[in-house]
Amino acid sequence: MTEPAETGGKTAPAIEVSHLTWRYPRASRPALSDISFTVRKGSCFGLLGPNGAGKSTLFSLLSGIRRPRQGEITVMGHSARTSLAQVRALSGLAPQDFAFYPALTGFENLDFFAGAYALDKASWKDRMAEAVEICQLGDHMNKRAEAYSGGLKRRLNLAIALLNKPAVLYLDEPTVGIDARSRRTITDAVAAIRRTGTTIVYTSHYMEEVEALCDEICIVNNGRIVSRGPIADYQQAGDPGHVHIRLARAPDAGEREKLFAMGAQWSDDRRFDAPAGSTLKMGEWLETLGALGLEAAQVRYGESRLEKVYIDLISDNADDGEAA
Amino acid sequence: MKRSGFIASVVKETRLLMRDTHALALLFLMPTIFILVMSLALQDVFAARSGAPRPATAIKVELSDFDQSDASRDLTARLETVKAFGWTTGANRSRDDMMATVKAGDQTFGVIIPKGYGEQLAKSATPAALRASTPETAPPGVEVLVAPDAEKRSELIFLAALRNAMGRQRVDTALSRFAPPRADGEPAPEPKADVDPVTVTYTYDAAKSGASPSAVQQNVPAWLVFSIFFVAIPFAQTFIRERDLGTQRRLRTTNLASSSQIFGKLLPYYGVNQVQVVLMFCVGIFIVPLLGGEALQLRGDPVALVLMGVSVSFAALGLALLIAAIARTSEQASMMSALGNIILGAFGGIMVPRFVMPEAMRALSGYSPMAWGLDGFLELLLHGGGVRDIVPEVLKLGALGTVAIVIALGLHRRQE
Repeated sequence: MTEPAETGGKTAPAIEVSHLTWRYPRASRPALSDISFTVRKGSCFGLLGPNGAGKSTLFSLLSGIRRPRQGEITVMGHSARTSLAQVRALSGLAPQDFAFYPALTGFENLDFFAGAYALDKASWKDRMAEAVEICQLGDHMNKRAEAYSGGLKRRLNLAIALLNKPAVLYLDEPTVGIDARSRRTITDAVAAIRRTGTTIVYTSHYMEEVEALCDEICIVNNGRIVSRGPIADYQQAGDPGHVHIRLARAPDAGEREKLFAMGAQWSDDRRFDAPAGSTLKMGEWLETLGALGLEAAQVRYGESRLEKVYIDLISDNADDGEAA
Repeated sequence: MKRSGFIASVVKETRLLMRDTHALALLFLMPTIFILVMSLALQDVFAARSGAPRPATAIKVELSDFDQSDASRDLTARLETVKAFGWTTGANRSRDDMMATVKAGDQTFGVIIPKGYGEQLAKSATPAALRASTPETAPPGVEVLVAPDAEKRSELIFLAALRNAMGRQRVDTALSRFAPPRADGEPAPEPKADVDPVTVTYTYDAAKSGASPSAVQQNVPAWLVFSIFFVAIPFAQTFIRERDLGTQRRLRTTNLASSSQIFGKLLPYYGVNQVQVVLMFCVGIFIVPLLGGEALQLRGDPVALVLMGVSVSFAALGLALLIAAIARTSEQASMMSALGNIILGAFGGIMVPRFVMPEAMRALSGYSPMAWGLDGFLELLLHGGGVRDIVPEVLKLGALGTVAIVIALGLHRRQE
């Protein structure tokens, strides 16, 4: 898993990145070093990494904001070095910033970007309607964007990226800083977009989102790929899972001893982690609690293994150096 | 058929500008207020420059006649014809009272005609006294009191006028002695019209005697040029804001040419500049007279006026684009554009008319693009010039705008 593996399979690649290196002027070290990976058509590719790992630089190169100088990127067969305009035309970018005009209404923003994308005069309104529907912006189109909630702003940001019906959609932390309901709306929209066959490159610090949406991931740190592979590989990796249990009351010494003997690792007088590699094992724990007369106030199972693996990988590769 | 990115940019920028109340206030309200205030405040300063009628705040002079003779009354009448001064006569207050008034600055000068003035004039206006006066036949004297804040130039002019009136009175008195005696019953001759041997023609408007450029005629172009250059502030701000928001970065994924982006931004601001020209002229023509000032007269070739407006706008937008390309933050952009405009305006004769500047500063002002714009407009509005008369200013403004835009586009490309 940590060794780059060919994930393209039989499906044609949407994006191929090979030996990509990028250095900012006057920077002491490259922001990206010898990056290579492939993204399958129609897949959702998670790009993970801590802040400053090089994700944004990679996004800017993939989406056509910058032209690669060393290494190569091809998007749907078009080289970003020689055919940047085609690469841009195939791409849609929803940046992490609210990259639209707060003083304009939702409609006016989409209207402007439809012009900027040079959409067809006959069909741009259909495209807009489609983007508005996917992002559920219909009731808010005539309000100024500055009056939108954080979630609406994220949705408008996404809708703009959908205007040109991109073959590859780049989503840079599309759910950061918004409430759970808005996150759900956006992740549902992303899932819907994916079903249309659009290839998605997705970054997020929310691992459960990545697990739910992506089928491959690539972890970047200090400008290098530290791990890459199918999401399933990460979900099966590492220690068996744990079930996290919070009891309604503190157990007495005998009860506590019995649970400890079964492998419970106490966090405090009511909470403990119990090893549970499967749901069957989890059932055993619940039965034991019932036999002891202890009521579980909260049970959490399936804690993201991806997050654990991710943190382990990042920690292993920790480096105080800078990267864009 | 594809939608045009350029038109989309123009529409977007126009919408943003129309919603930016601060920018609109800065671009339209500020120059309007300046024109109204400065035109009215400087009305007399400008009127005093040439042949305009006597300004309301003429130099004030009080005269006390302690002689009350025909000669002293005649001198008073002669002095009152000098319109450069605002005369107060007839009160004949004491010397101490006049001294206090002049010292307090309520009157700039005080003139005291002493007792015995007429008698002494009679003695001094004989052919013998005119040939060689003795202490007994010396010309009569008057006393002049000068206020502490009187301008030296005013004092010299006043004394010259006073000496001229007294000298002529003495000569006229002497000459009257040679007039033949009237026969009995012969009516007194009609007083001869005092024909002024000097003919004055005012070049500003030869058809109107005494016409001169009013304050509004000079203030409207000055503050118009200033306001046109002020587009740099909102223009640079909108540029930086786009950079901060990330929209500029996002637009790079759309294949929208940077020239379409930039010129799509410039065009609405160019439109604003042209609206400013029309609006400021309207303020000068219609609003200033309502407040007691003189109306602006649109003189000069209309084509040249349009060309001048276009040229100033071109240079201003070039500088605005350059500031937008150089500034990293909106604070930097505001600082550069506001401070730059004020400095260019101060040197360019916008805030302080150039005719009051010392020679060295006046020479320096020739390097301010605002001075080029102002000179061009004044050439048209004051001298009634045409296109040929503003060619130097148009060329200088055009060159500045072109150089600024080329450098800004280069910087913009490098930043990409």
